[in-house]
Amino acid sequence: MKKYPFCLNLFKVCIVACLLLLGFSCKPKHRYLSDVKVKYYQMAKADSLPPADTTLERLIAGYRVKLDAEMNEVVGKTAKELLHFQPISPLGIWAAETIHRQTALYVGQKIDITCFGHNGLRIKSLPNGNVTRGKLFELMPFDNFLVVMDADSVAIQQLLNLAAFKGGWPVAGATYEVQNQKAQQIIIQGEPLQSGKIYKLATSDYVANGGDNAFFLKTVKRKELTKLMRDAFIEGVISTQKAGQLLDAEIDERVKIIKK
Amino acid sequence: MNRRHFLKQMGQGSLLVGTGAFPMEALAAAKPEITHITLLHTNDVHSRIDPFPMDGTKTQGLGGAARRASLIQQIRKQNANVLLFDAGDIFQGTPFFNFYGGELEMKLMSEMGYDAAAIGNHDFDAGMDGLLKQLPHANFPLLNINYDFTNTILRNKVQPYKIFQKEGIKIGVFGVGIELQGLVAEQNFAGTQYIDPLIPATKTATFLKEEMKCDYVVCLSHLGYKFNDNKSKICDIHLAEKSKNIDLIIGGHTHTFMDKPDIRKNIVDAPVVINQVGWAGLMLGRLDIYFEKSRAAQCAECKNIYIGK
Repeated sequence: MKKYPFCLNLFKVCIVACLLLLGFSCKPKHRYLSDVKVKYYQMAKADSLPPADTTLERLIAGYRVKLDAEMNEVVGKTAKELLHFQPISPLGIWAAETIHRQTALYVGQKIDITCFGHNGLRIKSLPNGNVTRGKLFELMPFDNFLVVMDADSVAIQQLLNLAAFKGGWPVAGATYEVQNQKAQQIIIQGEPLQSGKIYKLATSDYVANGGDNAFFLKTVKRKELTKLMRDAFIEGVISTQKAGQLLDAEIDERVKIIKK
Repeated sequence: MNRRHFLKQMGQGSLLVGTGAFPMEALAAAKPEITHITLLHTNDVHSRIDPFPMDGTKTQGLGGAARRASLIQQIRKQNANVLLFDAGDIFQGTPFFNFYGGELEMKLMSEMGYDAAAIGNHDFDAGMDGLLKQLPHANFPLLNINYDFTNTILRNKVQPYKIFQKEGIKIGVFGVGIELQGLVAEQNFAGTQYIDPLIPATKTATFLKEEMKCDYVVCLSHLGYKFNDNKSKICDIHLAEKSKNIDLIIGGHTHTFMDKPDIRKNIVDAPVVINQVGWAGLMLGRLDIYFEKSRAAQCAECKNIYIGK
């Protein structure tokens, strides 16, 4: 008799436990997602943001010393801010002309056409005024080397078709029109693209090796230079500076959109 | 916090139930219990460690890792349930990468408490050995399900997914990457097998939801939001619309600034949120997700409120 209440209690506990277990096992597999809210924080210099984290500042500072000495060196000066956009921009023209000129200098022969990807240039603009070595690293952060190719008219047509399809790529030594995402009216060194002719094409090893979907260039005969494209830009800027000139380019009609 | 403690007590046995009705009452009286999880995210930071220099350009003075860090800290103070993700292209864009190969980027992200990151195409820019060399500096995993690294030095160095638990809520996170052919110099990814992410993404998301019982599944994607010049190329919109069991895609690659997240319906008509925050650490994305314990349906309705820039 004395044990009975205890047993009853135990029984009750078990029942409740079972119910609870049952309850838990029946609970929905996933929790109800009641709300999703979004917020975008603009990382502005606005006072609304807390001050920069000092631990991180210190960590960065250690790395910055070596970098700053080299990167803050002013290597040239622009006449105005050179913007980068498609189909062709002042920065694109300046960059293509610089590579065109410098490559000819490095290989000691005339380059017919220079062309590389719009996205190969990684800044939206070169600022008005002083240009530092660091800025040119930002313009061309990739360790891409210069390549001079012996490209026939078919390869040139394919390259400019790709340029047209991609919305317009910087070019020097040549002009082209974009119609229906293809290149037409291609003029190289003042002459229409001539079937069967071999052209000296300057570009980056990235494009030459099929980057940006330029697969058709992979088999084209080439001479790979040991010169980084970035160094070509830096040396081009320095030589302009030495000549007492400003870096500048005006937008022209070398890439003309007839119809997308 | 309270809830987990409470559940633990419940789990420890039914003794409490026998001795008093306290937990039952607590259960009945409980207001719809809400767990609030804050997801913070970046993408395509591209070695932007310092704010943009004051050079008269549009982005001058914006961004910067140290300021992002303090903002993240401030948010962590408001809500302990923070998850911090990056959708790839951590590397390449400033001399910091050219000089140090991404070491500082990884150290800073570790300091900030990043929980996971996807792999972007530019994360291959120093080759696979370059990426491998930086992994010891990262205290968070790189997630990817569609690069087969079996025949490369990155074998077993990249995780497919990771599950995070916050107050009993399970968040499953996996990563997908863009096709490398034609985008990355071949010697930099040689041996890596790219797999179309669509099928493996649904497979992984379903595994996370159904087998691992995740309440919410996040895909860190470096596929790109959409491609106007190639509409058939797999992108975040296609992934959202043609998959299932993914709740959120945190995107990258296309450097897209969004005014609000894009919400798409997947193959079973469930909403998928797509969000991306431009590039260069110019913006930090924040998604506040509220889970209600006592309601039965899962994600019957997802509201998105744009709070403002």
